[in-house]
Amino acid sequence: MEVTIKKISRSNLLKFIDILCRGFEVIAPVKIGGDVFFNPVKKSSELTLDYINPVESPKRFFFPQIELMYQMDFEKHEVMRDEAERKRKKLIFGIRSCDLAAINGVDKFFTGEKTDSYYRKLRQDTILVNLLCHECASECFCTAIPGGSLYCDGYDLRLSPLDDGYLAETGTTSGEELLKQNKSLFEKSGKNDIELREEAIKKLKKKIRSNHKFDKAVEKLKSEKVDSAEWSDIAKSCQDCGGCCYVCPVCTCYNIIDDVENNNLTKYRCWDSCLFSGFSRMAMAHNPHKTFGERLEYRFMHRLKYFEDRYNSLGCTGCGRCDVVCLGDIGTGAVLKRIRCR
Amino acid sequence: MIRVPTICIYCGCGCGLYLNVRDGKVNGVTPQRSHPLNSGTLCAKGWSIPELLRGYGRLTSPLIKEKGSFIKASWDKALGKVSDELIELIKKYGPDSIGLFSSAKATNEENYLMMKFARAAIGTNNIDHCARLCHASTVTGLVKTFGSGAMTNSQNEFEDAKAILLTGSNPTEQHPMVGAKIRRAVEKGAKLIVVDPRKIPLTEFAHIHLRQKPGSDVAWINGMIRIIIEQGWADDDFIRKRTENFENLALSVSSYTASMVEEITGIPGDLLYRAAEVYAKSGSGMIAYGMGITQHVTGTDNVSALSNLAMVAGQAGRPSTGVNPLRGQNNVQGACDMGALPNFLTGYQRIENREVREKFEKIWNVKLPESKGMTITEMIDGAYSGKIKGLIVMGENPLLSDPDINHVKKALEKLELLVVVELFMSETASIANVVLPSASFAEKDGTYTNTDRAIQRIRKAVLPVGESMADWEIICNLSERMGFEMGYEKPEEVMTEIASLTPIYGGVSYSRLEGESYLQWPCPDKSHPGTPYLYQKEFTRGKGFFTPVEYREPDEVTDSEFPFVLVTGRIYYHWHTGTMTRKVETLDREIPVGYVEINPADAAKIKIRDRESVKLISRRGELVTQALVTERVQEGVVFMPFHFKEAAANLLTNPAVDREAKIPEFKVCSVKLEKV
Repeated sequence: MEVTIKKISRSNLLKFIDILCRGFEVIAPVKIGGDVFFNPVKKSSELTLDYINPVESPKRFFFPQIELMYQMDFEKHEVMRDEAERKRKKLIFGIRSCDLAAINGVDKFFTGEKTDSYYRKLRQDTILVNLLCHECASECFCTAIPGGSLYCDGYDLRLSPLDDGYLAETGTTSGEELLKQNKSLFEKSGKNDIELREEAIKKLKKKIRSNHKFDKAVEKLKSEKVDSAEWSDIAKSCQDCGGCCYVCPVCTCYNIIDDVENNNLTKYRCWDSCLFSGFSRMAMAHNPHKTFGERLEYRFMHRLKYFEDRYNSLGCTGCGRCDVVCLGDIGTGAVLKRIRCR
Repeated sequence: MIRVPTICIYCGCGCGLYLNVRDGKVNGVTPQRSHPLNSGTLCAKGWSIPELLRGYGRLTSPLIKEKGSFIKASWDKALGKVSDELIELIKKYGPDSIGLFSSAKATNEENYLMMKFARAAIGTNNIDHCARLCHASTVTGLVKTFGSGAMTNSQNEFEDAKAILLTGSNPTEQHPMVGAKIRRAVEKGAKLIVVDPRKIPLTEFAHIHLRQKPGSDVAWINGMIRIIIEQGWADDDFIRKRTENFENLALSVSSYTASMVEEITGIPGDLLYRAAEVYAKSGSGMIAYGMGITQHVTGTDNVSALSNLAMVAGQAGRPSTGVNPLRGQNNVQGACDMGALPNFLTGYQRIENREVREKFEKIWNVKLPESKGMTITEMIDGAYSGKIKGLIVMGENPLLSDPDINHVKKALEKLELLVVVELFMSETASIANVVLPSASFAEKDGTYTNTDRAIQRIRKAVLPVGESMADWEIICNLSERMGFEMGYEKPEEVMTEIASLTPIYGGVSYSRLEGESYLQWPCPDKSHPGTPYLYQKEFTRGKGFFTPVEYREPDEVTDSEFPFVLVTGRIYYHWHTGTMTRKVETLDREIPVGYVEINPADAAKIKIRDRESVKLISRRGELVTQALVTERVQEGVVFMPFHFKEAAANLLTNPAVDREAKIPEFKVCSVKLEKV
């Protein structure tokens, strides 16, 4: 496939989004209260371009926190499914590279060796419009870990903020198609535009690396040199909320709930967390990860090593959301900092 | 997806969250990053709300019991039956034969309406709610010393305290935000003193852990005050300017010598000395406490003693100081504020005060009953003795939550009419004559008041399940059938009336709560910014009153027949009687069965191994549960969570109450343990 590189002004970008809203459910950053979320918009005036990274990744739209799988009526021998969500044609606008990298990983998990039909139906045909970062938050550490990057493949269309608009690059034929259909909104890109973009990203990378530098800590972790005493010391602060897993754009664990009521079986799946003791507990209360320390160690090893080993994709993309959500102040960034310090 | 900003249903922290609604269903929650308290975090219970809201086990239509089993009924029929029978009972036995349990889980508006219904439509002051079982003694204890009984400071202030004295509370599990903030304070250099018979997660961060014998609190608190006075660490300036009756306090604590305190409490004298020094000399020291202080026959005394301690050290009226009861339920502060209490109208205005009554009578256009009504514990006894004939229980489950359940059951079975307003078929609902299905917090509008005294909006996100109806609509409907017109279209109108009648809520309105989401009372008028900490210039009663209290033994002490002290309490993953959390797979999976914590030395003595069944027997009842052999409890003390109906701790507990607050002594009773 040929890559098309164009440029679009800010006002034309908004027009472009308005056009997209007619054909897709456009999910874009929206300010709600004091927070920014990925949320469906009907027109471009509802979204914001002034954001660093939304509170959550778009994971919820492919893998909801609680999802009705099906309902069965024992008497009528009927099976019902919730079809509304499955019929939507989604376009995620403004996804940052960390979340894009996460989706690449989650795709490999859910549709790689074996296909999860529930995920596939919500994820397939979704258009991803990547918007590169212009700024970082204090929790951002994508480029502070080995393999992390402010760029990521897997987009249909990539936008890079420039002083006088956005650089637009196509990544797939779907992206190419969108550009073609809206030719009039795009112009030829300038000679230096790519260079300018790369300079800006380089600057941002430097800024992130001046905030955080976790290469050595990750290396230490990967070579399993963090001992159990250190893990149990860190785990003292864990309040077992599960939040780190819930907000993690790469975490995919879920639990199944069967409700039997009045001749009906309703089956749900909902997000789960490996920090709960019930997650790994077996019969006779045997638990391979009995303590908080063991569970925390497992989670970090899975995110920073096992996942990558198995799927050849980052298990942690450095979005830093687990640091914001953590009641114990032991999100990934905080823990890597602690490991490095010792 | 629609993101509906609202407040968590569980504890008194009052965390902000969004309910994510897709196709008319809640399919997730997101913590509010912009919320001043939880700043983008939630605990496991908050995160699991979507599982709760899937609706499993919800009551979907009114139920009337006929010949021992429930029959579905229309609202018209069910409410008609309730109102007819209430009218009949009032005619036959008078309005004081009716009792009402309001709910600390319901909104302010609903508590206000419930109390209005009791007083104006039925004509009784027999209204109370579960604050009786958790912080009744906070009110009685603090009213004596400060003049009013609420958390003096705010949860965020914990982070900036220099010393924190935490006693009878396990905030990591029961108030997760406070737990996190206390840990953060320690990491910033604060000194943490934990006074608790049990090891709690925060003892890992504590500089001093004093393990008192359950029920001995007055002794160690008086002992600490004595040390502070004798060592010259008392804040003389504060005592002179802001307090009275210091001489009597000094005299009364002088006998609490190190050896006497050690004998009563088991706390070594040198540790107590160090704790007193750390607290008194810290500059800004916060006392935080929970039910380990309040649920005793000496609950009022315990609370008064703690406030004496704070005043002696001059730790009040400034940020990061004060006496901070951590309120348990999401809206227990609000239910108290709204006057769902037998002796108060809204905002702690005494029912016995004629001027107060006249103010309400004028607006409500009805004559109000004058003398104070019965408390929850008295209403249960009243049902047993025949004084109470009809009981309306809204969102409470006394058949699991109240002490001595065998007695509660006998009492409730004697009623001529038991009406339960519930989301689920609770133990109490199952023995009711009429069950009315109510809507959940996601299905209605209203406000909650958290432990910080912050009034926050909850918002309707989805339609009620089945035919269920919001509590406020149920009360209004019932009231109209009883001949007392309520006439509200929406909860906002109720808040307008509350503000007009309640000085501390005077400046509260829905329009204001849209913009300022964390408005803390007292907020007397529209321009008042709210009050993050109390008593900056003076106490509610003017000068703080030192209230000397003497140590008294718990109601039931161990003997050779019942040699163990049973302490009851709660755990992180479950909520109260489990009606909600036990339907949430993520939470119930963590701790799926009840248990009793036993010290390894005790377990060895009675030859009980970990996870083995053990029988607990008290003078009131017995049960079998699983042993959890752990160092968390001291020798001679066992601990049981009260969430589990299969092993209901309250079969064993002692219904003896604090003589002023009428709060039962859930924290101490005597039991024996037997191998099964």
